[in-house]
Amino acid sequence: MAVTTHAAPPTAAKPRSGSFRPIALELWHDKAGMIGFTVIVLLILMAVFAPLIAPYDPAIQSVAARLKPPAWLPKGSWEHVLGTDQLGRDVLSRVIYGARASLLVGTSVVLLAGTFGVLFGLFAGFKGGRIDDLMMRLVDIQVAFPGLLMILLIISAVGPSLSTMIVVLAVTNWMIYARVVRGIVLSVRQTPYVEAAEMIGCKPGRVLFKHILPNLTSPLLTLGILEFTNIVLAEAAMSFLGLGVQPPATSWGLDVSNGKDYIFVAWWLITFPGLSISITVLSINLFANWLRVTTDPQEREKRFARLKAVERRRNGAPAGAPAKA
Amino acid sequence: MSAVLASAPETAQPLLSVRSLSVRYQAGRNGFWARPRMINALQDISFDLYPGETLGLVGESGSGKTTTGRAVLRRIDTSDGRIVFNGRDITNVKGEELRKLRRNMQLVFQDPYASLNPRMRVLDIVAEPLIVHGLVRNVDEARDQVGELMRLVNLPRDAHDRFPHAFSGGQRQRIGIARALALKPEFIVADEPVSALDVSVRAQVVNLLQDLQKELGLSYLFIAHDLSVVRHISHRVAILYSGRMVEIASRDSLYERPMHPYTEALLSAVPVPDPKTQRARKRIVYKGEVPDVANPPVGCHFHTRCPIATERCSLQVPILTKKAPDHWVACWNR
Amino acid sequence: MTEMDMMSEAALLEIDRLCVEFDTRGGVVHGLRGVDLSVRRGETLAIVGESGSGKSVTAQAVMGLIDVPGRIASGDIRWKGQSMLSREGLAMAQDIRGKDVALIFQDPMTSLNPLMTIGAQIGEVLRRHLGLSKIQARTRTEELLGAVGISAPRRRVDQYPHELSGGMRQRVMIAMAIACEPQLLIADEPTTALDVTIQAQVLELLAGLQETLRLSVILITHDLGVVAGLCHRVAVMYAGKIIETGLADDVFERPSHPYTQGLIRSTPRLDDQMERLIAIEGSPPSLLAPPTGCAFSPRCPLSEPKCAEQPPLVAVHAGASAACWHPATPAWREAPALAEAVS
Repeated sequence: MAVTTHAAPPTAAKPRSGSFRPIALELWHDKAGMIGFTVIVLLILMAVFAPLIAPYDPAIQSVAARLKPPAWLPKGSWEHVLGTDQLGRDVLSRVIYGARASLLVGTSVVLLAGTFGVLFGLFAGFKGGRIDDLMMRLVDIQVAFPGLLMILLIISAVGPSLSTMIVVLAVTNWMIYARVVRGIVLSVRQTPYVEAAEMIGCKPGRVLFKHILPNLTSPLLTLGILEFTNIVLAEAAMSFLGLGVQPPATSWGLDVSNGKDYIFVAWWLITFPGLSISITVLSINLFANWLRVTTDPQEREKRFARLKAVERRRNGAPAGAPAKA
Repeated sequence: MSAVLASAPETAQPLLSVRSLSVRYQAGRNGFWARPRMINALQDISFDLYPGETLGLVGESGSGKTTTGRAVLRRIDTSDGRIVFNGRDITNVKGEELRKLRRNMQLVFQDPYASLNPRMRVLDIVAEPLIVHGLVRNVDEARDQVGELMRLVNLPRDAHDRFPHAFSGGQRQRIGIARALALKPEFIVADEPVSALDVSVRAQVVNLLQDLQKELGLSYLFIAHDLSVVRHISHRVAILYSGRMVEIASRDSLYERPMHPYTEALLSAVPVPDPKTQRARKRIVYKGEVPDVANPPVGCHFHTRCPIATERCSLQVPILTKKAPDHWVACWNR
Repeated sequence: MTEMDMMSEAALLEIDRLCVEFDTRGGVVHGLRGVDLSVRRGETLAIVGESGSGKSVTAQAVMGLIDVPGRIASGDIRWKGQSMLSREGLAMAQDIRGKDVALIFQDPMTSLNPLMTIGAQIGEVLRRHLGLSKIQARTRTEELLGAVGISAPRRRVDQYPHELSGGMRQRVMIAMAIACEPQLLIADEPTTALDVTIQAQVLELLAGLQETLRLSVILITHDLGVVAGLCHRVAVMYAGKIIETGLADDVFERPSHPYTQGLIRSTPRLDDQMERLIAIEGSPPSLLAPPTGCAFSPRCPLSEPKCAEQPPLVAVHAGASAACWHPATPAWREAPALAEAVS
């Protein structure tokens, strides 16, 4: 459908940049996106300032205070707000420190896998032909190869550690970037302005980085954030299996694993780290959804118009039905 | 075909000379190891373009008009034939040499909305050719030259720092023309430069192209599907049908005495914006459609729709022959 | 005004001061700014305008296709005198659309289902609106395909849209549109995507159908040439308003509004020898903040202070009205001769 935003005369043109305020306002109007964004900010703050926030060192054990329930339950005390685990470690402190592992692994893996996948996809899409065919078959082969098996193989050869986990997750998660990027490069290559750039004599590097790459920022941003949630879950799963974060370091996955034997005795051991994982993943998804709509001009216009329609209905004039002329 | 195609200034050297140009496309492969299917997009095209001249290239979709433009500019590889530009054979020019060649031949695009990078300012867009050819070091150095180009295409100077979306279709097309002119080329391929524009601004752009030709002595290959615009801008006109040239003649000769039955049909199909004339006109509406390029008929490609086709037409490809001064036709029966 | 009343009596479709607005982040875009139109039985009306003039929005409003971000802000659309926008009219409007009023789009590929054979698609329309049986629907489909000039309809029925050429698909769209024997056919740029020779075929087909089925047709186009051969009446739109309307012959011969004059004169023609085209300088106004007065005045050679006020659409001479303070004044200089243009 043609939205008739007809070409404005040059005098009415607005600068594109410096539009932070309207974007912030848009986020404010989207409740789900706002909640997601707030939680993400809080999580990051929590991870960064963990030593200041956490009441205890997460590794300190206390045999005297084993399996204390959360404060609001009988026998609970405000010394340990979320209770303690089987070794007397403070659950709240462990949850706070656990955010570090999740965010660190998530960010590093997304950056590592993203960089490699993007370069791979850029190259394949730009070269085209046989090289592209060959490179994408490589991607297909790795996608077809069971990721978990690969992880097990590598870990059993190298031994589990945080850095190994990051590398292993990057190795098994770069393919989606390559595929997405290649697809976009192939379609953007066909656009007249890329042809125009080649026509005036731009060298391939300039065409690729000045004309093609900027088109990738918004889809990659959304993809990266969604992939981040996958990695957070993968990190939890690997730590749960004992292939990831190793004690005395903490991780939500590790804590869920530790707590699983006490599930009937002390439910809080797996509940709070598990809840943290869910909340993180959910809020990132909420935010990513808002971001996806915001970076798609058409969807963004529609969201704006729907909001307007709701406002109009609230102000009394029934939207859709015409006012009597 | 060795015949030299005549044109108005007989003595002058042609700027561009195309001989027996053919282009074959790969039409996808059925599998990784399979041999690609080939499609003949263009067969045996020959023409000359003289300095300061406009050759109109008219055809319907699938006629190969866009392919001709891109092949001449060496955007796509030719399978056969020769392209001589300024006395130099450029048929197989590649890499850095091809990049240098871009300074002399440029393209104006059909779609003014899609052919400008939405993320670049007008200044960056128009200055880019100067920068990539090392004529200026950075955008700021190009400011004066870009200002001069803006004046040339009648855009306000303050357009510099705005983004393409702030401009209307006609203005964007001017930006595209300014970019093409930045390197001071002698030859411009205009690929349907007005067909995406609104009716009321088409005339602006057509007039601008004519003014620029007079001022800068440009040569145009003006591609169009519409015979009425071509009449206003071209000195000579060539008609393509299904990858072959069926007629090439000086403008007046072609419009007043069209010889190929396809040209006749094309001329009569263009509606005239005047009800009385329109009602009085004899309309030739041919049955059928343009043949599939992947699977064209044998012989003359037009014989399946042609009212004067004979048996010979379905067997032998007609050759472009001189039927009148500066008028060449590929038809067995005319 | 008695003439107007008589017209509205026989009118099939009436559009009354219709305003359509689009909520965009940049502000409210006024797509239609009070459009009055009527179509009588058996008449072909052309709506001519550039992109953004509101010609397609008008068609969408009639078909009930205005959706977020657009909305009908005020005005009315009446079918045989009954409002299609009032609460009571909505149900009737649903019934009318697709049955009595049919729409043909510019690009047939977007409105045909690529996964269904064309026979199945036309058959579905017949069975839903007319309650035909499967066998009846198939026979009727073959008849319809024959009627729109598709050769070997018996074979074509079982083909998919991608197996047909652009011209064929547009014929299929027309067949589908006339399947329920509509009284009004709205064709939104039906030939813009087609080649010239195919365009001629499709226009001929539309003219033939209009004659044989006694259809009313609204032809929406930007191409004056298409209008000339086919239409009885013309309405010229500019920036969301109708600025001139009248009988086609009158409008072409004696255009009253400077924009219409310019449009006709700036269209390159096959049958004249002008070396230089007359160009309307500038570009259409932004509909985000449409001018309060005549929207064309910034580009108009006759512009004067009075044009800051919106001129009403009034009768200029028999059969034509224009919204201009200086109707029927020649606005554009004759094309300069070649010698003058060169110097």
